Amino acid sequence: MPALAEAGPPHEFSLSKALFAEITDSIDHPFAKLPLFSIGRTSIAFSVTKHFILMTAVGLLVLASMFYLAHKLKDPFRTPTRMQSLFESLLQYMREQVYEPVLGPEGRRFHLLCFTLFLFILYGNLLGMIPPFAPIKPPGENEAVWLGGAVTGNLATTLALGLITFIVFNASGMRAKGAFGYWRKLAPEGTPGWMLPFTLLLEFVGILSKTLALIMRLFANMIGGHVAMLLILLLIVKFQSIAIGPIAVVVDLAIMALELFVAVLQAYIFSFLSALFIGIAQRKH
Amino acid sequence: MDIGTLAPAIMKFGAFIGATIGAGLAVLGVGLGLGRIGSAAAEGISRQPEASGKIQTNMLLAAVLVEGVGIIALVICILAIVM
Repeated sequence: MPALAEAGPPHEFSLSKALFAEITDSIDHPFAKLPLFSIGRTSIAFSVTKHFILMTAVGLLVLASMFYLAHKLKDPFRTPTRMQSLFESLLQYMREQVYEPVLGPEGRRFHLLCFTLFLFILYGNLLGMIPPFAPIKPPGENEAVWLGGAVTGNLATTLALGLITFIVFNASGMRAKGAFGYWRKLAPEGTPGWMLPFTLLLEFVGILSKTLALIMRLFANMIGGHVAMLLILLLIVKFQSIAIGPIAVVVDLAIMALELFVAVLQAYIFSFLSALFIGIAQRKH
Repeated sequence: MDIGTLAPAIMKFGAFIGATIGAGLAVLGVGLGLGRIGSAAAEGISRQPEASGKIQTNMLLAAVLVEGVGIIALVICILAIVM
């Protein structure tokens, strides 16, 4: 293989560098840079990095699974296949048990957004459980980047998802209660006039902190799980002894089982909390 | 061996101590919180076994929220060590 033939002196193995290369995105060494536009001397470009490719795969999977369900539902009287009944029961459960109680009858148009968030985060988390499978060399670099790792373990991804929730629930609240009425009604009824600014400030900080907690919870859960799994496996390479191998793999299996559970649960929690915030924002009591 | 050359070492030393103590305290808080959630859920189920489905769902929801806060604190500790 040409990559091995032209290797220089053997690299020193550094635990932290290997860990970081697995978990973070390769934004300094992208696979391709597609220039978009330039303002003056700065130019904005799409860098195709590892997480970009994985996120595209996740998005395509979400679209494919929902198109499959829609295609199968065109003829509702045929016996459903196993995939179809899986998606159907998932959708029905989320609608009836999770979104209907918190969003109410006037919040039906938000079911789609919350379920899309749920599917995207679920597929992103589960795709991150697949161990890195293929090394691809970015052009002009010596090190190959292994395609693997969770898309939702990137702070930028979870920040974007949290911003979507933030914008949607504030906009829906402002639409339901009026542009200023929504901010004024954040304080409960019957607060005296002099306390109004403090209560409003407190409520606004509360909104920001709830959104921040939403973002950080998903990110921290995914990163924590992957760091734990990778650390135990990289210990084998660091100590270079074969005795650690079986113990590390068994411990890693247990952590991986926990991580699968956490992946599904975190997707559920994110979409449930998004629906809860939207329901609170537009509830008219 | 003046204070100028020792400064990065002192910072790293302080970061390690702070991060490990912080991680221990975070785990302490999460343990206490989850214990109370579990015990309240078990008591609720023992009083009314028919409601065990609802109680279990709510217990899991509260447990994830408490655990989320603990894991956020742990990520901050990792950040302190790394930077």
